[in-house]
Amino acid sequence: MTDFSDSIHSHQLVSADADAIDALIDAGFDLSRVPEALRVRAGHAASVMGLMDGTAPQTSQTLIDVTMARLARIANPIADFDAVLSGEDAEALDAYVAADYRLAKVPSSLRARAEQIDRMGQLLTAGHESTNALLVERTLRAVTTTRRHQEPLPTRSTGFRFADLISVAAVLLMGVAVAWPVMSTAKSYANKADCATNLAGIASAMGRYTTDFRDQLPMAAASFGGSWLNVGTTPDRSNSANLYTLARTGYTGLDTLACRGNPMAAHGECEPGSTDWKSLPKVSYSYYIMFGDERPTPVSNPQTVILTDRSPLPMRLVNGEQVSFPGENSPNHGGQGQFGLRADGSAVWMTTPQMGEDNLWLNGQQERYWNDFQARLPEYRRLAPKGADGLIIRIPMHGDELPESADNTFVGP
Amino acid sequence: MDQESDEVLFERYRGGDRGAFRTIIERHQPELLRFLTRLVGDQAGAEDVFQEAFLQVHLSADTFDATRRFRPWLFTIAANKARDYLRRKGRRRTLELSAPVDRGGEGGDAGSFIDLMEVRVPSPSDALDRDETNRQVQKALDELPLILREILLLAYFQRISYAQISDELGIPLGTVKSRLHAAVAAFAKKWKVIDEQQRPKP
Repeated sequence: MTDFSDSIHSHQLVSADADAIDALIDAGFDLSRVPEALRVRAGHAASVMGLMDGTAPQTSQTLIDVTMARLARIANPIADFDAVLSGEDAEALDAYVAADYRLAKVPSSLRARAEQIDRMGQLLTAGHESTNALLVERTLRAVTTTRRHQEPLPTRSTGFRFADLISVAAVLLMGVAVAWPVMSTAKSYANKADCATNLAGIASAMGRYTTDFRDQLPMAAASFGGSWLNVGTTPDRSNSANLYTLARTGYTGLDTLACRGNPMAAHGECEPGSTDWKSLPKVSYSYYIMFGDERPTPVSNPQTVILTDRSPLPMRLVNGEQVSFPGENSPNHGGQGQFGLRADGSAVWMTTPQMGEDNLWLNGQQERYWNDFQARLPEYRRLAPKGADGLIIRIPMHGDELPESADNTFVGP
Repeated sequence: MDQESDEVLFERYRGGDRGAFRTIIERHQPELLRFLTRLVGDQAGAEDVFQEAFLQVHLSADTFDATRRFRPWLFTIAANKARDYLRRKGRRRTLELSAPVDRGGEGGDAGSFIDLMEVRVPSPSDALDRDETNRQVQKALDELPLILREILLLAYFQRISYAQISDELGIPLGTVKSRLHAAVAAFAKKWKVIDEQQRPKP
């Protein structure tokens, strides 16, 4: 087996290989989608790295190895750049930042050094004062002409007889409440108790809804247009609108759909004519994503989770970040974990969104990507160069992913 | 309209006032463009990222928590978009960074400590060729790894605390501190080299 650690330091990817690898990643590791000019290189680079294990390269293997090569490239520069501030300079920098970047507020003993730091800042923040009027116009035009993509999907009935199991919901939830460990803070306990009560209410509402609507789980509109992430735009564009249906149609109230751990949660009455929460921060619970070829065919597995405390990933996406850690817990309970409501009406408290192979926040393809990476983490840690800040992976996520099967848990937003 | 805060303007925009968005863009354009030019390395790329950032602001408008401040949010989005842009386009620059640093002729110590008092940093009043200085600054910056360049620029352009940087970048406070220290040291080291190279030798 190749000694990978040596190759990190001595081998540099030529830029054409690097471009080819990037194209491969962008193409979702499907060689046929890589631009032709780069395809041979991409295939070659992929196989070279896949041979690390002596096995034939497979998509997921390649994916990980390419990520590893990139990590080596990213991590190494830090190790190489071992310029270190002298102790007094470090102190001066801390003092300068603490002084709101104002020299006058820095203690006099550190001021000479802080002045150097200040001057460096002036060098860095200066630059061409070219006002580009065209740029403003182009930007405005891009913004005002942004339209969302419409793609209607046919509705289907879930077929799952939710109503059959609702009678056990309350009992099971109470069982969960009794089984909680002692909470460290009263507030955390109160929030969780509140949530459990909410889930009992939601389960009950779902049961009544499915009874009235021929076993369909709550759903808003017949068509789906683009991203399930776009809360508050129009009902056929968000998954939260599907959950909101329970409140809009009077099966439950907004307060039951509001978690105390979400300071922005909406309360009170539904505004007349409203079909969704106004914005993403107002949504407290993430719901079974209702779209796709396989859904909403019957949820055959009553253990499938259909509702959870809100996923932490959507806020990252709307901030333009990529997803690096789907093991993150819901923000509703201080990151300690999240409740899940199962199709059979039972509730469970999970300290991680990862339930075996199934990750609450990811669809099947993303899960495989993530699981493969996790499995090889010890190996990466061993091989990572010293001084590497951490191992990061970027999971492609745009808010328009669809679940791969009816029973794979995938909730959002 | 010019005297209103970003937050007020943004609220108006969300209420349907398109002109408010124009004012926001115009207000932030000079500084954000300078920030992005430094971060991305060239003006054309910076302009692309500039547009992408404001497009993202527009798309995420509904999710903006009105109790937050607008400007840090804008910079966070811009830095994220810049990172994506560099990943897509700036491959060559990153490759150069993978090469070992030339440690010759600088006092020769590996693991070198930088003493800022030994670095000649011009003050704005120095009568230097501005364009030349800018090019040198950019050259020094371009040779830093992205994560150091990014934190250096985010800190100096926004003049924010370690805690705020920690929030924006989503990294622990301790990491912010050590990374910013490393960034300042690395830039100082680069600047020293460039400055000494273009100074006439005695």
